[in-house]
Amino acid sequence: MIRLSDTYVRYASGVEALRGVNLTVTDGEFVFIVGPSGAGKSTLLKLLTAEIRPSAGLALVNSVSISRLKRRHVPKLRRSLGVVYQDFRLIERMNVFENVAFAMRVVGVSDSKKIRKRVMYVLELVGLAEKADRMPAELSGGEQQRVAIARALVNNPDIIIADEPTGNLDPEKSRELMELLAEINELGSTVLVITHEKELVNSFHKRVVYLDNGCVVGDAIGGYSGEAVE
Amino acid sequence: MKNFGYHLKEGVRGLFRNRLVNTAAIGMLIACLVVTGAFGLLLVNINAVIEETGAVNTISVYMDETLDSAAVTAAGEALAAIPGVKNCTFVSKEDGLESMRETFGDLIDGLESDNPIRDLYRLEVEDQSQLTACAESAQSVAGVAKVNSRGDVAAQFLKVRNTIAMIGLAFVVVLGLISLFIISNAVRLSVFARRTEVRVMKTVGATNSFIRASFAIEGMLLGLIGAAVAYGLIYLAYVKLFETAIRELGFLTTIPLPFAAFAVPVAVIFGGAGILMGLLGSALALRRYMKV
Repeated sequence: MIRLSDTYVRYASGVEALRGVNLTVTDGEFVFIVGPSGAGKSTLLKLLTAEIRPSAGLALVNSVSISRLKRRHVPKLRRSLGVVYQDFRLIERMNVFENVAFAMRVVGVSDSKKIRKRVMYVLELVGLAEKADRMPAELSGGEQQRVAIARALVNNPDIIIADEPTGNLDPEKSRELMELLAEINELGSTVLVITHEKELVNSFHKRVVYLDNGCVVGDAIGGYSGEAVE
Repeated sequence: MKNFGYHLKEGVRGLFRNRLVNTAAIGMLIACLVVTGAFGLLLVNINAVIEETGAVNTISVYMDETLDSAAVTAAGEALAAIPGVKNCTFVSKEDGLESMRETFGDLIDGLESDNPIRDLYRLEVEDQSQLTACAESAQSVAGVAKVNSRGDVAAQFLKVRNTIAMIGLAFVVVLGLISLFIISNAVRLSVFARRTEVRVMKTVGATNSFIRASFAIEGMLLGLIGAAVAYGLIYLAYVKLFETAIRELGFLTTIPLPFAAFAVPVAVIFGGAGILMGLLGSALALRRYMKV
C-alpha cells in the first residue's frame, strides 16, 4: 500500500516538485499516474523508491515511512518494489536469462535451482521463455521491455512501478505491454504506471491520477482527461 | 561470502576491462612499494652497522698499563657503579689480542711476548643520552688511562639514518598518494563501465556492501599484483645488486643482512600495503555512487 498525505518535496535548488500531494493506493490496485512534463511524476517515483525524502508530510510505502527510513534499510524497501524504466536498463553482456537472474543474485539468492525455476516462471509469464538465451541486442524494443518487466517481477515484489514503459514502443507493442501489466495486476500485484500517453490510458478502464505542477488535480476511474478532474 | 565467486569473477573481469589505466595503477604502486622497500632495507642495514660498531650506547674504558690486577678489578667495580651503566664487561689484554687475530690473522704473530693491547672495560649504558655523562664519570675513576665513547660516531650514524628515513618517507607519501589517485581512477572507470549494472543493483535492492564488493576485489587485485611484482624487483635488486656491491667493498662484515632474514616481513608489508591501497582506492571511487 502507498499513502501520501500532504507530501511536499523541495529540491536544494528551491524547486518545489510535489506540493501537498494526497494519494492512497491500496493493495492490488492498478493506477495510471499521468500529467504533463514537469508535473512531478518522476519526483513521485524517486520518492516511492526512497531516492529522495519528503521535505514535509507523510510518505508511506508498504507501511514504511520514507522520511524515517534509515539508509541501511533502503535496500529492503526496494526489494518490495519492482521498477520498470523507459530505457529498459538491460545489461548488454548478459543474455535474457542472466539479466533476470541477476536481480535475484544481487539480493543474495545463490541457489541456482531456485533461480532457474523462478526466472523461467517469470519469463513464461511475459512470453519470453523461448528467448531466454538471446542477447538484449537481438530482441525488439517490446521484448526488451518484457525482459525488464520479468526482472522487476522476479523477486516477487508487492508493487510494480513502471516509468513511461511504453515510451520507446510502437502503439501495438505499447498496448500488448499494458495488457501484460494488467495481467500481472490480476495476479495480485499493485501496479503503478507513470505515463503521458493519453490514448493508451483511455483504452483501459482504470484509476487515473492526474498530476500537474506538483499537485494531484484529478483522481478518478476512467480516461485521461488532460485537464483537472474533480 | 556465498556470492564470493560472483564478486571475484567481476573483479577479475574489471582488471581486463580498462587495461591501460590498470597497468598505470599497478606501475605506480610498484614504484611506491619498491621505493618503500629500498629505503626500508637500507635503514635495516644501517641499523645493523650501528649495532655492530656498538657506537650508540657503548663506552670503551682502557686501563693504565702499570696497574696490577687488584687495582684493575677495583677500577672495574667503580666503573660498574656509575649511574646509568647497565653492563660492565672486562676484556683482558690477552682476549683483546685474540680478537685482533681474528681480523688480522698472521700479521700479529710475535706480539704475544710484547702485547701492546691494554686491559679494558666495555660499559653498556642504559640509553644513548647518558653516554657523555657516563664517559666523563669513567674518566675520573682511578687507573683509567683513556675513555672512548664514540658518541660523535653514533651521532653521525643516527643523523645519516634519520636523513635517509625522512627522504624515504617523503618519497613514499608522494608516490603513495599518486598510486591511490590512479587506483581510484582505475576503479572509477570500471564503475562507469558497469553503471547500468550498478543502477539495476540499486533498483532491485542490492545492499551497498554487495555493490562495493566486486569493485573492492578489483582494487585489491590491482594492489596484490603491484605488491607481487614489487617484491620480485626488491628481491632481485637486493640479492643481485646490493649484496654484491657491499661484498665488493669488503670491509663491512655485518652487512648485507641476508634477504631471508626479512623475506616474510617484507612480503606481509607489501601484500598488506597493496591490499590497503586497493581498498582505499576503490572506496574513494565508489563514494559518490553509494549516496542514493
